Amino acid sequence: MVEIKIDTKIYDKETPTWCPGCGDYGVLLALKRAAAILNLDPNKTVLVTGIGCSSKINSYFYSYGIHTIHGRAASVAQGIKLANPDLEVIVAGGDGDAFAIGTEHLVHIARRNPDITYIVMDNQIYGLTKGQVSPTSEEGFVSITTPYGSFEKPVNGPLLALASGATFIARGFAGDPIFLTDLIVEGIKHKGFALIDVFSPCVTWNKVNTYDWYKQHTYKLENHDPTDIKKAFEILQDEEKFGLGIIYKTEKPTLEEKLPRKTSFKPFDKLEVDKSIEELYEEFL
Amino acid sequence: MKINDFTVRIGGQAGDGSLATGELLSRYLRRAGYYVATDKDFPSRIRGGHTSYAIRGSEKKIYSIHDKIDALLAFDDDSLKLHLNEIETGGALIYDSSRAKITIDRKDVRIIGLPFTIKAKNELGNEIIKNTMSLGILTKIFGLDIELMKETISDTYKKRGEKILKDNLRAYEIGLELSKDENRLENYSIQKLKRDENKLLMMGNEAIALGAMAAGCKFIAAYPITPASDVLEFMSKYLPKTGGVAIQAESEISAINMAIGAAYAGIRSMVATSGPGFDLKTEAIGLASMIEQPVVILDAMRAGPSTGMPTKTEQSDINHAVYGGHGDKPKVVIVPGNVEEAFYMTFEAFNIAEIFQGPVIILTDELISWNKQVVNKFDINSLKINRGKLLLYLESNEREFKRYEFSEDGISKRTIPGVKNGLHLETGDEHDEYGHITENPEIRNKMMEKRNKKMEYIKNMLFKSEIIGDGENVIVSIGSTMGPILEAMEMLKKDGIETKFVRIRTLLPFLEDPIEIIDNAKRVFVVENNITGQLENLLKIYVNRKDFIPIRKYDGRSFRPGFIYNKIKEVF
Repeated sequence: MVEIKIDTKIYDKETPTWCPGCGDYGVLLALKRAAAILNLDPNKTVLVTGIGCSSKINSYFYSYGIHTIHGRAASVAQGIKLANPDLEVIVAGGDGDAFAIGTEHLVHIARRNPDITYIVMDNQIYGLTKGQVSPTSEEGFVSITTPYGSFEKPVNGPLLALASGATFIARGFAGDPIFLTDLIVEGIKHKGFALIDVFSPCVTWNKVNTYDWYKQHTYKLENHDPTDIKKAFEILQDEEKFGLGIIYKTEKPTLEEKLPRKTSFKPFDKLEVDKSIEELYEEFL
Repeated sequence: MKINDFTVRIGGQAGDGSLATGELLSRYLRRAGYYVATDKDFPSRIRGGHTSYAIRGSEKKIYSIHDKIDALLAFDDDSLKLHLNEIETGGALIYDSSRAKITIDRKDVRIIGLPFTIKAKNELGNEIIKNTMSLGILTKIFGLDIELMKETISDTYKKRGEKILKDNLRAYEIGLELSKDENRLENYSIQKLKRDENKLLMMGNEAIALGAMAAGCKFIAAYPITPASDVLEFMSKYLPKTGGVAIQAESEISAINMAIGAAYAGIRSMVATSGPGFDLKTEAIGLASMIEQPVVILDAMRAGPSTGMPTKTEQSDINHAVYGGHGDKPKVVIVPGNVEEAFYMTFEAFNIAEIFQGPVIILTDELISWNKQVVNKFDINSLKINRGKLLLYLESNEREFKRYEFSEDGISKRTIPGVKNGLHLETGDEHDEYGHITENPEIRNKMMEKRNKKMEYIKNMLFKSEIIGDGENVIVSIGSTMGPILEAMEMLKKDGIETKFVRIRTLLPFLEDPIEIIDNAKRVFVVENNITGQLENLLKIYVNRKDFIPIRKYDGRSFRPGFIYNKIKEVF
């Protein structure tokens, strides 16, 4: 357990416009604390987000940031990481971004294993568009677009990521930013793709999945060996009680390491007309 | 007498290998000092279905095949049904006599039946090699150079192993033996010309890949799609050798977003796609416009809508390229007309993208993507990289960098993550000079105006129309139609009709240079491969005249010179 008193001031940016009590404050705090613990250089860190309340987090965190389009943050992040592997690339966004419109990218970023950390702020509802059902809403959940209750099974994002080959999966709770800090620290330190799924209550639109609800439905993993993939599957398959902590962790070569190139061209290298194309002319004779 | 200009069409079932024969013939022609134009016509499937490949060689610089062919090499009955009437009087029909008996009603062409399949099977145990065998008869009737053809076959197959090389050379010999009684066609004089090793044979997709690589593009993400896949295939092979990354993304959408990410991180990046994929990229292109990131998008147009005809050509993405997507946003749309130009335009596309900081769309069509042409070795020493207002070092005491600072030309200084003192947010939301999200109406207005201003500013770096010929009758077109138009102009000239060709090369922002010519012309013909007149409708926004004479084609096939000639003649 890390100390509570950590100076996070250098990572302060704009004042958040989230509703008072929003779980995302807890995630922002944990992210700043993790950044401070790891001494992340804001000039070499990029926080990539999609669209939604949670995706505004890079307006509030002092680093390079790119606020993209709905569901595509993971793709933009991979482009950044491939272009400049020296950057610390962190993706953040909501359950809509990660598990609905952007699901395809979650599967593929997991199997590619770039050294990117993806923090999902899951509130089980669409907040910014004012209270529609989300991909992680429970069956029966009543919302403005499911007035008779949701008739769909929720997406199990971390389980999907594990099945897709993610090398690090953790689950946290915005109501416990100290615990969450450790997960983010470990996720960023992890060499490879790290998914950190965070329950982050929406106090305005979701009156079911409240702080209390999460307290009742979660537990901290104890004596769990995160290298045990069978156990990780078991934990994630439990959709009644949600285990919090590092659920799975393994070491695999990263996407950047596996690229078939001997040298890598860096954005700071001098860009010149590439005359080496002349060596390819023999293909055209 | 036709001198040093002839066209051969090779037809067969997909999987027969007609394309391989066409490749050998085009490579031979380049070595023999000829210019080459080709036209592929094949179905969207791997086995079966009629395929044909037309190859024209000429001592003149050409960009297109002709209406007529001089020899038809028919490996299947469909070839006869579809192409028999294309054969020029005095030309030849060569068919595979081992397949079926045929009755052919053309007394004005030489008909030659040879048992290619049987010979290939019996002598080499490999039916497909009949293709190389068939080069024997072409050699005989056009008087091609045997040693040069052997060299071409050797160079083409030497990498494929000794047996393949030996069998192909043997197949060619057998082809020559089979045709030993055939003389040259009387109406043709085809000589070996001066070989010029400064000339290369390539298709548009390869020229685009080379142009991108010359420009220092180090990142391509793409999803396989006809007819653009060659660009990713080519760059996957060569880009890693230059320290770059080529990645086959999980979707068209992912590809463009990756490319935007790479551009944001400071690497020149691109995507290559065709209509359906271009549709999917629309939202992200808007992001690139909004956050002002340079990304190059190739849209190799094919016949739409929807899946349409994947292997057929069309110029029907003009509307989408120019108007596609919500919101008013700066982007550039340029259109090369031939393979050589595709190289240089692609190179410049990367400069333009970085100078004006936004997406540049290169519109080609299937004919340029796949058409092989002979090009001059590229004048690499004339090329220059211009990265615009990109700053990799900043001195400042400010906590945040004004990434979107208002400026005279609308273009702000740009920096990339990793640069000290450059820290800022880029967002697809409306933002202020620092990139902070805002809905303030005054800032909104100023930001919209700033972005819009860039479009005016870059006009003078874009490609003006090329004007060819003179006369009061004007022909307007974009892209690959230049080939058949130039030939049609020559045919018209013989009839005493002079025409002026305005080849538009930038669609967005629309450049003013052709407006006066179009307004002052006696007649204006607009040649385009679509049904609704997308180019004509775009012109109507900028010019005064409304009385265009449309020449349109939307059957998925490229224009032929005679088609354009006839349409223009109808008016006189």
